[in-house]
Amino acid sequence: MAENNTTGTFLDGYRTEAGIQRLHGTKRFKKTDEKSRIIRRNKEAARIANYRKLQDTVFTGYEKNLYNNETFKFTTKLLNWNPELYTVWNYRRDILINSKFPGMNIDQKHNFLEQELRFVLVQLKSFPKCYWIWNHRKWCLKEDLRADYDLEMNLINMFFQVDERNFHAWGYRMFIADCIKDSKQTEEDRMNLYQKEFVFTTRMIKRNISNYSAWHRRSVLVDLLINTNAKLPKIIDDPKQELYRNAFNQKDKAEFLRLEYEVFLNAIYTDPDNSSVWIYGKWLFSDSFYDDMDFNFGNSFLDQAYGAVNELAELEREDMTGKENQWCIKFNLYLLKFKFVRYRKCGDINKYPEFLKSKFAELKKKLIKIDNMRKQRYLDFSLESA
Amino acid sequence: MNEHNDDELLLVEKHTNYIKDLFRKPVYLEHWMADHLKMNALYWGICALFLMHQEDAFKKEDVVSFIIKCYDNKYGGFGSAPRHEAHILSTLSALQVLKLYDSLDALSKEQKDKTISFIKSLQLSDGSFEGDRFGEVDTRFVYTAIQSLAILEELDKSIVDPAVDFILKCQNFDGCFGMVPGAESHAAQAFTCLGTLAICNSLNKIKNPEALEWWLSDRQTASGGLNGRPEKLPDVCYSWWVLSCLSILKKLDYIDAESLVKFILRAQNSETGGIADRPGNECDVYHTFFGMAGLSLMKKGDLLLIDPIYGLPTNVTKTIKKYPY
Repeated sequence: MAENNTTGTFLDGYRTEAGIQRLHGTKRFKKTDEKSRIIRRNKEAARIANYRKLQDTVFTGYEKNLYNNETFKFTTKLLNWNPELYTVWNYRRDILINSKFPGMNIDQKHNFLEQELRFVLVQLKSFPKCYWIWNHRKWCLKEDLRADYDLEMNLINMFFQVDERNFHAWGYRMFIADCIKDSKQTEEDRMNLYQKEFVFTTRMIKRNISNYSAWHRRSVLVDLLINTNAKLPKIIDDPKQELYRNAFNQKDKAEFLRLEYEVFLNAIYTDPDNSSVWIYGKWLFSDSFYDDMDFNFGNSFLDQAYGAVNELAELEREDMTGKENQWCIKFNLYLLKFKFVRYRKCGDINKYPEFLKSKFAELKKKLIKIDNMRKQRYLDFSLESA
Repeated sequence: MNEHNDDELLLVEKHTNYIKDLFRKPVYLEHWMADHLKMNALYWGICALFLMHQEDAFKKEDVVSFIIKCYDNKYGGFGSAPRHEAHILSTLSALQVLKLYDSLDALSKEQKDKTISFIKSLQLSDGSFEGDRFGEVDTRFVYTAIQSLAILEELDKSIVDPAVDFILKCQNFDGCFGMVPGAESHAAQAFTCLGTLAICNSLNKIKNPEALEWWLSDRQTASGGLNGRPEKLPDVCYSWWVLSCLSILKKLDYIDAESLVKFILRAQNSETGGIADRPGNECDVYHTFFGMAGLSLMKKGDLLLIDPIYGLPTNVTKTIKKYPY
C-alpha cells in the first residue's frame, strides 16, 4: 500500500522522512523512492515492534506504580534505546526512591549510585546535548552523600576535549563547583574554590582565546573574587597568578585591570576579528570596575586603551589593504562614550574635550558605512543615549 | 541541488503539506521514538499553519481531543504524548494550541484547577521554576510557567515578583541572559527572560539595555543569518530567538532584515517543503516554525503577525488579559 494512502488516527505519530527537531547541522537526506521506503520499513518492522512492546511494558509499570528490580531493568533497556523519554527517567527515579534506596546505608547507596553514574556516562557520550541525561546525573550527585566531585571535574574536562563550548558541560561545571562550595565550612575555602576556577579559565583561554564560554565564566568569578573579604591562599607556583591573588586580596580593582588589560591586549593582537575578546574588553571598561576609581587615573587608563586599539586598527588597515577592522572601531566608539558618561557622573561634563566629540561622530560615520547591517543602532548611539 | 532559487518566495503550499504529513501515521522507528517532543511539535506545526492562514488544515476536534488525551490525571498539566508525565514545557504547548483554537473550555473545571496548581507547585523560593517534580531549574521553565499562567489568567503578585527577581539575576556581564544566575548568555535564554519580563510588565527593570541590544544585533553574521552565541554558526531558529527580543525592545531595525529574509528562504526545501537550520541541510518542524515566525516579525510573506512575547498570532494574544489585572 502506498504511503500516501495510509490513514492513521490524527497524531498517531510522524510520517515520511520529516523530522521534529534534528541535531543542528544535519545534511539534507538523499531523496528516496517508494521502493527504498518500503525496504526500510520492512527492515525496521521487527525493531519497531520490539520498541513498542518495551515502551508499553515500561509505561504500564509506571502507571501501576510497580517499583522493583524487574521494572528497573526495563527502564535501563528502554533508556538505552531512547534517552529522551523524560517520563521514563522520572519513573526510574521513583523506582530508586521507593525500592532501591530504602534500607541502604550511606556507603551502599554511594556504591549503587556509582553504577548509576556509569550508566549515565555511557548515555552522555552518545548524547552530550540531552538535557534529561545531564539532569539525572545532577540528581544522582545530590542523592549521594559521598559523591566524588573531583571525579566529576575530570569528566567535565573530558567533555571539553571534544567540545570546549558545550553549554551543558559548562552549566554542569558550575553546578559541581557550587556543590563543592556548599561542602566548604569557611568563606576562605569557598573563595579558594573560585580562585581555582579562575585559574582554570586562564588555562582554557590560553588554549583558545576565542572560547567565549571561558571568558564568560571568568567574568562571573572575577566579580566574586574582587568583592570578597576572604583572604586567598597561594595555590600554584605562577608569578602571574600571584599578582592576581594579591589584587583580589587587596580588593584592588585598578591592579586587577592592569593585569587583565595585558591579557586583553594580547588576545586582540592574536585574533583581532574575534568577538569574544572584544565583548570581554568592553566589560573591563565599565561601571563594574570604575565606580569608585579616581577620575583622572581612570581616564588615563581609558586613553591608554584607546591608543592601543587605535594602533591595532592602523595595523589592520595595512594588513587588509585598506579594509577596516570593525571591532576596533566599535570598541573605541564605546570607550569614547564611556569616558563621556564618567565626565557626566563627576559633574564636569562641559570639560569633555570637543575633539573627542568630533572623533565620536567620525567613528560613528565610519561604522554606518562598513557595518551597514546594523546602521540603525549606530544612528541611535549617541554620547547622551542611555 | 534542490535549493530554492527564488529568494523572494515562501513556499506556503509545500510547507502546509509538509506539516500535515508530519502528523499522520508513524512509519519508521525514529517516528515512534519521538514521543517526548510530540506536544511541542504540535505547537510548532499548528502555529506555523495559523501563520500561513491554513488554520483549517487540521480538524479542530481532532487536535483538541488529542491534547486532552495528554492531560496527566495524576499530577495535573500535560505530558508530551498520551501516558507521559506532565512537564511544564508540554503544558505550555498544550495551552498555546488550545488557545489558538479558542478551546480552553475543553478542559473541565477540575482539569483546569489541577493544571494551575501543578504549575504553581513548580515555583521555588528564589522565584525560579522547576520543569517537573524532579528539580531541573532553567529560565526556560520560568517563561513557560509564566506564559501558561498568563493564558489561564492566573498571574498574581506573589508569583510574578519573585519570578522577575530571579530573571534579573540571570543577566550577565555582556548584558544578555543565561539559563540560571551565572550561566553563559544565549539568545534563546534572552527570549525566555525578556518574554517573562514583558508578560510581567517589568521590562523597565532591565539594567544596561544598550549592551543587551548590541549583543543581540551582533548575532547577525555576514551570511545574513543569526547565531545564538558569539563565534557560533548561524541557524534559522535564531531568527525567532533574537528577533523576538529585538522586537520586544522595539529595536527590530538593529539588524538587516533583507539579508536575514534571504537566509531563511534559502533554507527551504522546495521539493519536500519545510525549512532547515541552514541552507542545504535537512528540514524539521522546529526550524520550519521558527523560520516562519522570524519572517512574520519582519512582515514578509503574507503571514499573520506573530506576537514576539507569546509566540502566538497577535489576533490571539489580544484576547489574553494583560498583567497587572
